[in-house]
Amino acid sequence: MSEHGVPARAALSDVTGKSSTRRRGEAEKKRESGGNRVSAWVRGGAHSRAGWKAGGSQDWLPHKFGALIVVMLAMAGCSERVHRQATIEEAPQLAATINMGDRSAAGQLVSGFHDNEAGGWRWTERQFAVTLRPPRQAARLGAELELHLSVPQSSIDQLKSLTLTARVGGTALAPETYRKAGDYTYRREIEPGVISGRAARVDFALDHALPPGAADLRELGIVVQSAGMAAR
Amino acid sequence: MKHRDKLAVMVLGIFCLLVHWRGFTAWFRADDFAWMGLTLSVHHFADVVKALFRPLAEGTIRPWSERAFFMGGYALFGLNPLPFRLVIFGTEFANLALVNSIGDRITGVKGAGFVAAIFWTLNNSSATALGWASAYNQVMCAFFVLLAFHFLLRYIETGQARYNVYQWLAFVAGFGAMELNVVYPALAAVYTLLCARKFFRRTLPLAGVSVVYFVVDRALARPDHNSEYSLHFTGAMLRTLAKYWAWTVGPQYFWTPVHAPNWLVIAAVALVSLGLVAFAARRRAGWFAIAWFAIAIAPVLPLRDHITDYYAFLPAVGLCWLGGWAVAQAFRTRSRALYSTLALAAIYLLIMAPRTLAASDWNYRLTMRARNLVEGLATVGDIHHGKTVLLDGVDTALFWNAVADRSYRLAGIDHLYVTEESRDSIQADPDLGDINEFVLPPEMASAALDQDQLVVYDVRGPLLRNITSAYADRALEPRLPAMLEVANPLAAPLLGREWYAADGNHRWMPKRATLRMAGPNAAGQKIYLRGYCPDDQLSAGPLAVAVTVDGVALGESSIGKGQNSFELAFTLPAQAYGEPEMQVQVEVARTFHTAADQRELGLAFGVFEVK
Repeated sequence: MSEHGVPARAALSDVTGKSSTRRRGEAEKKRESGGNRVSAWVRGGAHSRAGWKAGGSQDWLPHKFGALIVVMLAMAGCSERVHRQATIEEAPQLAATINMGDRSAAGQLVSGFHDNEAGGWRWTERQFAVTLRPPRQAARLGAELELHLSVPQSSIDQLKSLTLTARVGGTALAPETYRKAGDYTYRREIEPGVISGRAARVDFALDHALPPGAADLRELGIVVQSAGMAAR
Repeated sequence: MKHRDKLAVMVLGIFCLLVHWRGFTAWFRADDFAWMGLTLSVHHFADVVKALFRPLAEGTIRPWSERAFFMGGYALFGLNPLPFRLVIFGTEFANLALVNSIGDRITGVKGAGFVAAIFWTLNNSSATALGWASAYNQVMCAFFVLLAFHFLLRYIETGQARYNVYQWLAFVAGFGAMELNVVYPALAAVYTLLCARKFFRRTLPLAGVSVVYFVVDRALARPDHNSEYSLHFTGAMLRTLAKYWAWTVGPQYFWTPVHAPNWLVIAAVALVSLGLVAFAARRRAGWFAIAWFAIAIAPVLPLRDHITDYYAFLPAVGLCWLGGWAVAQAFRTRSRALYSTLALAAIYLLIMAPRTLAASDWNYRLTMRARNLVEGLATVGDIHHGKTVLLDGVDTALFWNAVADRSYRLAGIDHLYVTEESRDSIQADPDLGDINEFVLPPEMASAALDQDQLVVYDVRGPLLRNITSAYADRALEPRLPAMLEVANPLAAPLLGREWYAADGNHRWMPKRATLRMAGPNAAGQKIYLRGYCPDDQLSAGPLAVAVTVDGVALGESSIGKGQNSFELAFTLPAQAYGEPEMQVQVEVARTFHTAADQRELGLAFGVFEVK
């Protein structure tokens, strides 16, 4: 990272590793003498203890100490990078935005939604409703409602157009009509005083929907990806 | 090593562990996190080299004792303190063995080194050196200096050239531990001058290495111009020397657990000092022991405003040898001085040990607070992945020991702030950092809460408590920030729609981009633009950058070749003063794109700041 908080994308040169220049003889000698001390201690513990009592070889102390360090390091190395400590969490809150694929927020889908589809979206019925957590100070400053939706070609082919309306706290929001298939965002401002409390129910309605048929037994309105409420 | 020596070293090691058990079981704090955090910037071999040898922290280059120690330790063991402690205490056990061995050799009295090692273990300077991992440079530097001196003594004793070679190797390696190593040639020269005159000339070439190191280090190092580290070559150096002497012979700040009056502690320090000087006066090696203290403390004497207990870690060895010699000599000769010597030793232990234990405990408690926070944040990162964390209830000690050095990055948290209420309770320390960098402006906090991008935790208890809802219910006074990190996701609502998505720690703009931030709170303030301009953009010549604020043009600046990391400053208009919000527009003369990135790219920005 540069001193100004932006990474300098310097080209990185290739690095070729060089082998150690340590002389083979020395390395082998080292392995013979000190390199296998731990295993020697493990193998010959009784011998070492006898040596200690007899006042002979007393090199067992470094051996033991070395083994202890190796074991401790191994134990330390096996552990997780950062130990996790418990936290005191508050009760789960309503989400301000619900993504249709988010199963944890499915409880906020009050009615009119079909099962979650693989791509993280849901078909609705003609009428559908969600509960959202309004922004703080929404009562004083109002909020903005956003519904990300798709109008399928099959619906347009059969119904020609779809008009979506929404109601929040008994207040109707301006409708929007879709005459072409595609992705849309239904975005409406909610005036101050409309929302109170920590939960806001939003009721959506379409002027019509595809009725249940032989191909699909469900009533099909529009496809919704997400619904949310944010500060204005 | 003889059986007796082995036993002595084992006893010293156990004694050291007993005295510094709180140090051995301590966690991490403060700079430790910054050093370990270097690992996060390493992706290629070139990054490793840069991280190991780039001057950092007042321009210091300590590849073994700081960079390799922390980066290697963190890469292998994460935030597990045990491997770090094993290395620190393993090095210290070696130091104790060397102090023991050298003490016996230079005094010619068996047991002098052992008693010196006991005195050294109890010295105040060892509490921080052994308890705070970032002070490992002291322990490692002491190791190389003592090792080099040990080989010098062996060279003098045997005349074998290989010991001279070993001395050189230990001495040169010591520069990787700490720059204090430059004093070694002076230690070797003074010793040989006083006690082995025949070898004096052979120590002089060592000074050449120190001179070369000093010149190269000064040329490469870029000090941070931190006022606390300013050098004062004045009479203050004598006062600093007196302070270090007093705090080596007695407790730092003359602290005692029973709140003994200062005059009493000063009297005790004076008694012990007189005893040491009187003992040294008639002995050449005694003068060397005092010279060891003076020479090893000399490099930090100009640091008038940065007097730190662990700076006396290596110098204290000299006085400990002297004390150990006096005690061992008194026992050996059974002279009349035995009782007075024992009385002085008892005074030293009595006034020193409580402060050492208390300092070790103080450090331990701080590290435990840091552990509670960082390990709690690791859980927060798991539960609220990707969200920004706001901490409430952070006090001065917790902030400077567990937040300021960005410990949270090691716990998987990218963005962490403290509440404004916390900021007001944290004592500012400009030499350590700027608290305001960690304060989330209310407007950004409010927007982030609404978008579920922020979680708030109370850190007052041993466990982090999620208080997001309660915090959200507080009436936050909307106020725009005076500093905006444009890559921060929480800053997005303040940016115009023309900005591209954040890319790591920066964000690209096209030809023109806008943002909102607070106006200046004092006349004459400027707006600073910091960012990055690649060579591709500069290949057509200098790039003109124009800034307007609320429609008023602030003039034009340009970025020339070689100024890839840039900082531009524009004086703000008088009418912007005191405004809660100003609209800033930046426009560059041209854009570019690359084969890999077909976007129209103007400049990459990191920070906009009004100050």
